[in-house]
Amino acid sequence: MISAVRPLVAPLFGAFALLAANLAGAGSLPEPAEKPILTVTGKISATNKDGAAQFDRAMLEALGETSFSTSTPWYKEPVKFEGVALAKLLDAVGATGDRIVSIALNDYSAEMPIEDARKFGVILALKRDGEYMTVRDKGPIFIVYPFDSDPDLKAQKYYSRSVWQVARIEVK
Amino acid sequence: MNVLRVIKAGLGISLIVFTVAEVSVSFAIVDRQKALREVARYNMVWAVSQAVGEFYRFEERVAAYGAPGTAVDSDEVQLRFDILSNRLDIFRHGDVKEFTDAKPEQGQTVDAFGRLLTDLDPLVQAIDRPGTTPRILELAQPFEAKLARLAAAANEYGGDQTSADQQRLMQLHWMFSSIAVALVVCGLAFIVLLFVQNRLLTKAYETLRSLADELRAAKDAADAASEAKSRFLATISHELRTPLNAVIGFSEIIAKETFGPVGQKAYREYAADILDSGQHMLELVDDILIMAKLDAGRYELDLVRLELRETVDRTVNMFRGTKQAGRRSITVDSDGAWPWIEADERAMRQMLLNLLANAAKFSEPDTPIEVQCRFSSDGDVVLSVTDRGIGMTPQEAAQVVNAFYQADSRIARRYEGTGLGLSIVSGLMGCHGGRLSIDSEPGIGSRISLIFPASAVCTPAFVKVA
Repeated sequence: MISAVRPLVAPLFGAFALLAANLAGAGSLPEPAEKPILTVTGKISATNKDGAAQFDRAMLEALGETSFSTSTPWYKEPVKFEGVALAKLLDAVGATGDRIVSIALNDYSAEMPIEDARKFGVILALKRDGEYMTVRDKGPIFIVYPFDSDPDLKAQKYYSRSVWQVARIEVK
Repeated sequence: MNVLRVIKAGLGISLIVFTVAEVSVSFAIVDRQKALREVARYNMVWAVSQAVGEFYRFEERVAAYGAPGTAVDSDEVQLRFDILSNRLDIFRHGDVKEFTDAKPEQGQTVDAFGRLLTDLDPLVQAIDRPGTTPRILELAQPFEAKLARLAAAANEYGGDQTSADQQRLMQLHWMFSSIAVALVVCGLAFIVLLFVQNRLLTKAYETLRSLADELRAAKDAADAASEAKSRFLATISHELRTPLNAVIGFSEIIAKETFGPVGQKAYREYAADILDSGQHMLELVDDILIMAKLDAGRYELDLVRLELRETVDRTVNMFRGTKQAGRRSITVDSDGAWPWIEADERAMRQMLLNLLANAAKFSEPDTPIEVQCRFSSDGDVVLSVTDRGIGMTPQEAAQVVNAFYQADSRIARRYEGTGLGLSIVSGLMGCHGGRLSIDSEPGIGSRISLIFPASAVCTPAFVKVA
């Protein structure tokens, strides 16, 4: 029986090491090449600068793109948002808390339970209708819920969690 | 019972109202859900007040930039301006636009604000040029009051919206309450009506039960009376028959001089008369007994299969031998249909004899009497005796089957009879499931028919000994 197992040992060990490295994180994020647009702090395991994880636009886009169209109280017509799934970002930084606080450029902040990310498919939108969003246009990052997917989301509770001009995210 | 009908109508109405209320509740629930959701809509009041806040921060950053020895750089000012421009954008679209459309004065403020930002844009980008900072502040200053007014108006508008939403909810609440009350009332009405109906029905049932009991008692009494009558008649007829037999028997012996001659011719004649009267009385007693049995529904038929032609021939021959028949011409129609039928032989004979006797009685001796038989269109057997006598009017024909009736008291005196004959024939035909039919015209003649139902027709019975 041992002779059958031996050929599998090396690949198994390699996979395990990779998994462990991913889980451990600790300084495993690359540094941003351009000016960072998002800083993540708090209960995270992957960092790249003094216990914080900084991302530029390219790093965020490298996490994978998600998009959806939805109606909002800020635009007359339904709008197509493209960006990174919040859940993917949280996985990338190894978030272990139960709440996240999003803080905007003008110091507006909102708290949301971490399950919202997975439960509702919240995204960090970078593009609106195909165009990158400037600060004037609620950019560079806009936290958007897919409001049309669930009638319960069309309430003040979720509109207030939909922070635009996001600069920082704290994991608590 | 009218009350029951009213109750039924009431039940129907309450049921309809109940159903209508139920349906409207369903619609109302959907409506309510929508209304509740709308109450939690986007807070545009907050959005407007945020804009005011951003405006002050922008002004503050510009002033700080302009002040000597500060650490504020132009990028920060630009950022603040960009954030402020974004606020204008929000004013122009989405839910805030609804507010500015509703309040044109505030719409004008937003437009003016837009123009301000357009004017400030190049200035902010070239903020490091001397004199730009005071210029920016100068242009911005008037808007402090305007924006404050805008925020206050937004708050007012928001309050009105909330108030309207609350009112709608209250209305829905009242609608729900009234529907609930209507449902309860209908339910109660239904129950009450059912209760009342139940009581009425119970009472009706009791009345019916007691009525049924009374009827049963009455029927029992009637049955008993009928029994008593039959027994009385049976006894009487037996009592009468016994002396009659003596009268008939002995008078016959004397009339026929069985034990030797009588001597005086007159005594022989008297004996014949006594015999006649005795036989006549016996006939009457028999008729009365039959009548009584038919009346009580207790005449029992002894049904056998009869060859109608043969029965008729025999009876006619029997009749020919009597005094009534005399030398009359009596023909039996050979061309007719003469089936076999199931009937009481004795009754058949009696009925035929009765009809023949009537025919002979009510017509002149030189006129013929015919006996015919045919099938009707329904398959009934029609056996008729026809005479060319005095006939009767339709009114007389209708009455003649009633017991003791004779067409005319003058006739009664001229033509003897108790008047029981045709009523007995009618009763006996009834027992056979058939009927008696009279077809007559005064002065022309009469055809009396015995109509047997098609079901009486049967197959021939071969019990005759050759």
